[in-house]
Amino acid sequence: MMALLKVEDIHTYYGDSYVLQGVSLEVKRGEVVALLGRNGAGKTTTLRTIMGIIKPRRGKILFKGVDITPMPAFKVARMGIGYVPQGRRLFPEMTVLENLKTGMRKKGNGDKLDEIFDLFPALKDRLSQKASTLSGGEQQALSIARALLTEPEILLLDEPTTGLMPLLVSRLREVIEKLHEDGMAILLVEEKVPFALSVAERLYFMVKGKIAYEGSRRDLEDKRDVFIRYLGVKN
Amino acid sequence: MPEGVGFILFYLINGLIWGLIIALISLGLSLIFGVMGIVNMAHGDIYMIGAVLSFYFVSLFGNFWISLLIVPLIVALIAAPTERFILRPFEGHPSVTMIATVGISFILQQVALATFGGIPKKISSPWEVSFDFLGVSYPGYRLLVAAISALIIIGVWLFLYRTSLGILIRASMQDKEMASAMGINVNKVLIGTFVLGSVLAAIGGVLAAPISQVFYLMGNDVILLCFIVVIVGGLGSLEGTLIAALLLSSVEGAMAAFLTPTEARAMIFIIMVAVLMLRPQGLFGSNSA
Ligand SMILES: Nc1ncnc2c1ncn2[C@@H]1O[C@H](COP(=O)(O)OP(=O)(O)O)[C@@H](O)[C@H]1O
Ligand SMILES: [Mg+2]
Repeated sequence: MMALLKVEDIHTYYGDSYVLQGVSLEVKRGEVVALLGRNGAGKTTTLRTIMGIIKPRRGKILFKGVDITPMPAFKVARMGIGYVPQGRRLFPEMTVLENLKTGMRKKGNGDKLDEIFDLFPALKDRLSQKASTLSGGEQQALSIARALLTEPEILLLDEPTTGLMPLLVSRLREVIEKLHEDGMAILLVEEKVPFALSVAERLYFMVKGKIAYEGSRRDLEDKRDVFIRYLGVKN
Repeated sequence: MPEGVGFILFYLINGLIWGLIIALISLGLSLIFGVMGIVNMAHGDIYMIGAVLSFYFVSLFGNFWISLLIVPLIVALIAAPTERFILRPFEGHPSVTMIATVGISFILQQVALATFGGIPKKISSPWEVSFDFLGVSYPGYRLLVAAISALIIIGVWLFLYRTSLGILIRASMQDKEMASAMGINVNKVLIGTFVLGSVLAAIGGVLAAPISQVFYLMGNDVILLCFIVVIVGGLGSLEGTLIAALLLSSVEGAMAAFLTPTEARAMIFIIMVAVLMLRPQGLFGSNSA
């Protein structure tokens, strides 16, 4: 089957600093894939490059077989890639409802909004509240909800568990599982290895701007050394 | 000349009416800065162009109200390509765009000087009615200007805070990169904002033409006050801009009862310095700004 998202050997720079040194990965339709790596490995930069926020100097990004590399971010988003950035990046001065509306491109998708409230009931009572006044968990919910309203076929999640207490982390796991059941593809950047292992079918390990290892969850079951080698952590 | 309470009231109302025009123009300046990050040094000259064009329309058709409809359209048609071809290429380089707007300012002034001439001209009041209250006879046109300005400000406000397009503009104002990652075509927002901001300045110019002198340098005085308003209100805060415009203009107006215009303007500077010493981010600015 053709990959939904295919990243082919991208090289991305910030000015002179050579950050992504040939990253290739792919996500199939409906697949949940994790991208792991130490701080500074280039995970966020990979997602930003996929989104078209920064342009790679070399390499290609294909989405549904279309070369999206030259597209501006708004076109990439409209193609069907939803972005939940590191640090949430809500529009702090706008209300919860207004934040949600930034994602609602198509008119009359009120049904979509109801689905969102099924997934994140807490948001429903906070619609007229400013986004900046939400708790950490609610902010993360809003950031994901906003991205889902663009009706993506794949969701890029950048460290969604950061700052969430354990109960909320397992809530988030349920949300991801639910989205997965509904056929959403997800590329998850994570620092919490157990969390990534519990939701992702396949995992990539990134070291210094390169993919150092790729394997399925099953492959990794008896390879704890991989985690130590690439992440410097004991799982 | 009015006397007593009426005397001060007269100046206060004058200041408030002028404040509404200033609010209109400053709102444009504040939007352009907030959304585009551009310090538009030509904003006052767009106001001037509004007044000058209005002068021509009034002499051509003998009807002021036509100019109030058509001049904003003409200015919109000039503003759109200006953003696209002069400012857009320098997007993300604030100092370069600022210099570019200084150039635009110079061009607008010179074009006005070359065509309109260097002598101040007057437009007669389009509504020769006056109202009496508290023993003061007040020109009706000024009250009408206040009402029209207030309506336009409310309209812009509803547009920004109650429509889905307004949401896209405010989202771009807060985080352009994230806005585009949400599928918002930020380039369209930028051009739309520049057109809207310029149109507000031009409407200010048309409305002000019959109550001030039409002159190719008339923008210089206004742009200064508008910058003070935007700074005192807090950079990036639209409500701050509105409140500061009304506040400062009323104060300046009331003080004009006792002081010369230059002294009154000096007081405005003193207020600005005082506000900035107590609140460096301005009245409504966020701490991080
Ligand atoms: N805006 C930027 N400008 C310059 N360097 C950056 C920028 N953002 C990230 N970097 C650098 O790029 C490298 C990769 O960063 P990032 O993609 O954020 O890593 P990760 O998400 O894996 O922690 C780091 O060395 C970081 O310092
Ligand atoms: Mg990161």
